[in-house]
Amino acid sequence: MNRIFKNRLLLLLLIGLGACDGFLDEKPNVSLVVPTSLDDLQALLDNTDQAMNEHGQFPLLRSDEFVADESLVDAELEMLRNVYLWEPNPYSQDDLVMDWTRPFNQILITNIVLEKAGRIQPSTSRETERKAQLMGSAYFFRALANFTLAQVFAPAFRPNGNNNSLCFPLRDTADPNTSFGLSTTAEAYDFIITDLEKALELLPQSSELPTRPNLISARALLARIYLSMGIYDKAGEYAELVLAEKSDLKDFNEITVSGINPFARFNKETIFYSQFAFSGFTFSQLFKVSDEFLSLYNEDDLRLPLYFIRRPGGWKNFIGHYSGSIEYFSGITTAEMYLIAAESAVRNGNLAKARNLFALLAGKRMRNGLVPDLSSLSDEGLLSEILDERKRELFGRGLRWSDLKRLNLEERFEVTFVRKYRETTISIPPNDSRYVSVIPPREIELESF
Amino acid sequence: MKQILLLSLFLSFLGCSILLAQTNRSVTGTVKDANDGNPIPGVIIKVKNETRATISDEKGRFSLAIEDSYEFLELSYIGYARQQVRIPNDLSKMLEINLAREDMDLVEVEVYSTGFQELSKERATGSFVALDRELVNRRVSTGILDRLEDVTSGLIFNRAGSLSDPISIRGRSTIFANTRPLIVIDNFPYDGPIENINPNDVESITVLRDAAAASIWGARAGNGVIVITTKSGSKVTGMRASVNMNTNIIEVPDLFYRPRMSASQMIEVEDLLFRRGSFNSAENSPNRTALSYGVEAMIAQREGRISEEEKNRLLSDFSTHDIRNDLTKYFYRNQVNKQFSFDINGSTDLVNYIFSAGYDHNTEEVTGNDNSRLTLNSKNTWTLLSGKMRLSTGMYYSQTVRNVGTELPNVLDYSIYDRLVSPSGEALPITRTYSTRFLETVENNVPGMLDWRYRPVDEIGMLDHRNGFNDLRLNAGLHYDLTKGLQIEVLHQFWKGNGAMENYSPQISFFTRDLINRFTQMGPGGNLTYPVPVGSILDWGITESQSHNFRSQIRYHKEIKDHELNFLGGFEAKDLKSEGRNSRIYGYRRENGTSQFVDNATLFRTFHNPNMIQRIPPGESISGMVERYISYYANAAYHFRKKYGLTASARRDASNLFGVNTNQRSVPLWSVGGSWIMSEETFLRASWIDYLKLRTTFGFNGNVDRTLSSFTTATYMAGSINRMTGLPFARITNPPNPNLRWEKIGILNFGLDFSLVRDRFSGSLEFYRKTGEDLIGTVPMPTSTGVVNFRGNFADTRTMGADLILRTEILRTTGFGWTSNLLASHVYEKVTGYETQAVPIQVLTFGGGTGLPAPVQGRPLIAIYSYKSAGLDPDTGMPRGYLNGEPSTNYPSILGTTGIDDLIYHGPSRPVHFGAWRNDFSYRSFSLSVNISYRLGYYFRRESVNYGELLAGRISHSDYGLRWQNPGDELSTVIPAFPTVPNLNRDRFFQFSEDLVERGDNIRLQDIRLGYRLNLKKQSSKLPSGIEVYSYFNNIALLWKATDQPVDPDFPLMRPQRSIAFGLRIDL
Repeated sequence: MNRIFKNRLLLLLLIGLGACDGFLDEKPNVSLVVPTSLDDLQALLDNTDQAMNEHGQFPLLRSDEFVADESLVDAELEMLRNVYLWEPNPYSQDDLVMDWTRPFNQILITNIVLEKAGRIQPSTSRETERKAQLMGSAYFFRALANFTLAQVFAPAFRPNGNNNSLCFPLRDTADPNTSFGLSTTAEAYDFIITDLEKALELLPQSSELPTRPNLISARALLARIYLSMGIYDKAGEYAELVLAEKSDLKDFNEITVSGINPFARFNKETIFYSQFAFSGFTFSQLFKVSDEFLSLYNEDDLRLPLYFIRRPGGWKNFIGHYSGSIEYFSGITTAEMYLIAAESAVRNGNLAKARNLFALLAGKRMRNGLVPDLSSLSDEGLLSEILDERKRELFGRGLRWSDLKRLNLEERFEVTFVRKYRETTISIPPNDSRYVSVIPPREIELESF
Repeated sequence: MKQILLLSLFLSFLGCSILLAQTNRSVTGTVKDANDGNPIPGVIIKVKNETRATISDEKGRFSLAIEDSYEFLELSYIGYARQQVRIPNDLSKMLEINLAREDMDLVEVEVYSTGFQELSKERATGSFVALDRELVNRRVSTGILDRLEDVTSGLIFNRAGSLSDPISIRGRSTIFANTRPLIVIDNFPYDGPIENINPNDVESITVLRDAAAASIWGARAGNGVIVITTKSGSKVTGMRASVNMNTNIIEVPDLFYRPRMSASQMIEVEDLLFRRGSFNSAENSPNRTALSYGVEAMIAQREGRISEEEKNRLLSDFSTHDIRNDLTKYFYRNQVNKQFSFDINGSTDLVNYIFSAGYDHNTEEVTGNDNSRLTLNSKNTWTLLSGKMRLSTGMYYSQTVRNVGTELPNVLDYSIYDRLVSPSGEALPITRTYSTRFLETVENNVPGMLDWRYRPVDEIGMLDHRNGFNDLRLNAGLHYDLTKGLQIEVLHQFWKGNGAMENYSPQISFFTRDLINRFTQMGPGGNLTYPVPVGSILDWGITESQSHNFRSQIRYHKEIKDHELNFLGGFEAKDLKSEGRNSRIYGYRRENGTSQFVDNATLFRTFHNPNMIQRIPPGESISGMVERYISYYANAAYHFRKKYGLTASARRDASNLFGVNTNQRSVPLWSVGGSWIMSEETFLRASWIDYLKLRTTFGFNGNVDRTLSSFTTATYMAGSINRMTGLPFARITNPPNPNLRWEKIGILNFGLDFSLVRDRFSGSLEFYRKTGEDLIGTVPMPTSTGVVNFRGNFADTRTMGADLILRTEILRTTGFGWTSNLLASHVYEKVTGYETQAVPIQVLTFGGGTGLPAPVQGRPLIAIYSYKSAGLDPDTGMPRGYLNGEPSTNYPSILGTTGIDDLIYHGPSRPVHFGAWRNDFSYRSFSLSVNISYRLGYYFRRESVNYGELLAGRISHSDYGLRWQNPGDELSTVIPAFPTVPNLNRDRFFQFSEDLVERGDNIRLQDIRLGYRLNLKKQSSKLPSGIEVYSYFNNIALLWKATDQPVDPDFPLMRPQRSIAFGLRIDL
């Protein structure tokens, strides 16, 4: 061996082997991605259970549809107990409040999707469509998340009044290090409507699953939001647009009463699917249906045996979730569109249309399609009958909370909310400050709004 | 041959000097083996600090001419410890000198292994701790890491804090990143489970503690490095064999150690709660929640199914029982660990070899479960091309198997007074998952259902769960001397680890019966269908991992007169891949290997709660992981006159970190050091100073948090997790962090090595300062950002410490020896910078070992804080805190207004002072080693009654019995009154109040080892051979603790189990 050969060997060993291009580019974990592709972004939005299609408990706990047994109230978490009992400051210092954290987590995901999808240059027409669908979905979910926040943390929207109270931040960037101040209620609703209008331009006519938004569900959400804002002409307009495309109703006469939830998940009435997150409080059998609500159903109403089950203790529980299971459904159905369209029609003076829509829905819900005769009712009477039908049809979906806030603004529909717990009676006058939840203290401490 | 030649040259030189000396007087004597008393021929006897010397003859006799000024003789012989003897004034008497065999003495090895090179103690500047074979073998254990405990200076086994850092070397150097020391086995980081390493194959362990020692390992050395070197063939020509076997018996765990309420107290509480209606929710639960037999009896009585007397009879019967007695009787036994190993090793002119085999079998403490390990090793080193080339190969194989036949009933499943067996010896069902009322209804009305009761005793040994792991390591190394002093080395290691899991749950097991029943569907006519087929369930999975480690390096050694230069530099690459797959088979019939399809897509109504729909769990999963590193390193040492030394090292690591820019994938790290052997200086030459060395180093080690990324990253989740749609989805794992950097730990170390008064006192004293920079920390974020916590480089820490090793030879006379080894360490960690303040609740929980780390500036990372207590309210027995300086029971306000600065800071929750004092005694062939360990200067939070749990019907701590009940009790107890309604804030206040904080300081008699060694004289061989019988006792007793509470501060949940081992070692 000569010296030159030795030196070459040395060089080869020391340097030659070091030059492996791409050796360090291998990703450390198969399931890990830097989400940039359309598939990855879609997968982020498909995180249905613990992110996009689930919400906090607040609207159920503050609804007069349910009455919790005292022993349940005693046993529950302090935070949920305080919300149920309308405590003005229900949250402790470090509580993570799902009604606040969950929508903001959804907003982070939608902002990531919007930022990443915006940078994708589609190369085929199929990709162009998918990009539009993704961005449309992200706008839809961001609007839904902000609307969910508005239900809990903002006062009811006053269609002809002042909407300047500060409620929550409107985040439109993903970077967690960017700070946002609180927005006014007007700004919040403006932001929500703008997002949905963008979604309308981007979303396809249909989607594979009701957990993914499409054009119809975006219109349906607009109808729900405009109704909650008291802007009835728009609400009616969007509800009718939906019904023109999708008006399926299941005839409850075809369902056998079994004491078990008779509805399938993703049934044909479901326009958009979402649900309330699990909680020991609202899922308990001791979370009973209020007698006042039960009295709204007459004996020919098939919803009475299909929605409710009588327990040995004498009370009734709600089992008719459109989740098909024990989760409370919070999505949008065709029936809700009938009711929005009908209510808007009355409020806009078109009583015939309202009666007709009412009859179409009620015909599928009453025994043998026996629809009550509403022809003699004045517009006032018709409106309250439709509102009662809302209570009956949309039971246990969190919409009662939204209606309480909205209708309290009209003197004729004002409600003084009453909670009884042991010897105390808590009475909440209409439009009380407690209709708006305080921002969780942890948030105030860290963000100093 | 070469050695013999050198020796004869040396001897002839000595002979000349004897001839030249003027002989006036001479000292005569005999040299004998200290153990067997046999004379030793060939011992070199030299006058200290002079050249005059002689050697002993066949009968061990010698005679040496001396002068009056001579003071000491020095005796040395291969295989024996050097000895110094004072020359007596009276020379007429024959001296009798006993030499002790080197391997009988627990002397520290003089060589440190860094995994890259071997360093002599004299050349090192860094901080090393070495454990030789004797010390490694002192303990009896299955695992290798256990052998480090209480014999390694600066290393502690953590008891408090999270389990992710079981071992710390000089404190914890990181907050969130990897906390484990790097483990290197035979030159390369080991990728397999450390349990696969057989301690009997280990020759020595070196722990690298500072930057100079560890910086050669760069970005993974931040937590220190443990370098394990396996045995090689003996360097002396010939063949040797050794056998070691032992049995270790570990006592049955004491289930009563953790204080719980008694059965009668629990029934009392249940009765109270039942009358209050607290069980209404569970009783009416659509999920048919299980209630204890006591509550069921109360329900039965209320519903009129049994009489009041019957109920009372049942309750009083229950109250006499405690399930822990049954568990101890039926489920537990002594754990028996058996270990057997042997090896053959030796060398010829061409090759140096070792072959070893080991087998461990451990019956576990739970009846029906055991594990075993088989290891086979062979290692050869060939010397070729007349010594210019050395080729080494190694093959290490290990196979571990764990069999689980018995699943221990989960403590949450049963109530304390459940019985496992009836008086007539029949297995009884315990409360689990479903209420007895529901099960009775099913049994009476649905004949097609499988038995739905859970009888733990029937399930003993019923399962067949096997976990096997095959581990193969192949090493090859080529060393070639290019020119004089220049060496090139190429090393490669291939590792493959295959794990196989097979969990067979027979149809008769509760797990399988329950799943089948849960999914059983009842048709309109009452006919049953079984979506989960009636049959057994087999879960199986495999993991396949493999890695390549490659290293090429050059070594250069040059000595010119007083100058000596050593250089080492090279390149290293690593590629580790692992893949895993899991699957489940339903309706499995083992005898003929058949299975059945199930419908995993459909949502089925569950039998116990028909309003709930679920998919049949698929049990499928796939995972994959790749870890890659490319590193360049260099290490240089310069010594002048063998007295002054300078060292420097540098390393650059790059890894396939995910989602970071290319320039952030790598980090350069370096160290420098200096040493001065003071005892070589003439001005420090004194008869009582044998060796004195001062050394200092400074440099940086790194650490990686592979979970973080500067881009947004997401993790894909399988569709089976998505209950709503069944679609696969992605979850954000990491919000973007463009400023991410590697963690860096700067270490400054000062050390003094000493050996004084003829080696009577020896050891080292070191002081160090570790500065953590850019440590990854978590800050709580406003959740409106979409994230709850955010990780980034937020923290700086500083650790100050000192380590003392002091070895004292108290007695070394004929036949009797007493050596004491004191290890004393001090470590104080402090967070010096943290960008945001943690929330009080995080600070309170983390010191106890749960939750997220919550650094507080100026305080140790893991520390105990508490709420100031104002004692119990004399009227209500409620615990009181302070609100605006006044005693208060307004818990939400106390918790809301008490900031971190208002909390009481007690101190760290990990020992500030720790160490061990080991005394080794020897008398002729007997040896005794006793180790006492201590941990001081820390705090812990003791467990007490949790009323929230109790009000939910779950048993709690026995402090319940000490609670406040009547006014005046507050003078004698700190345990609050039993509230009527759960109050989380009150529970939280009490749990974290100062009343439950205790000092953790303790001293324990850790272990004793007793040995008897019989030497077999073998004329032909110079190597020691013999038989040793030994016994080892571990976890003997807690000698002292600062707290009055009955708990052992380091073991709050389970007392460490005592063990006795007996063993035999034969060296031939």
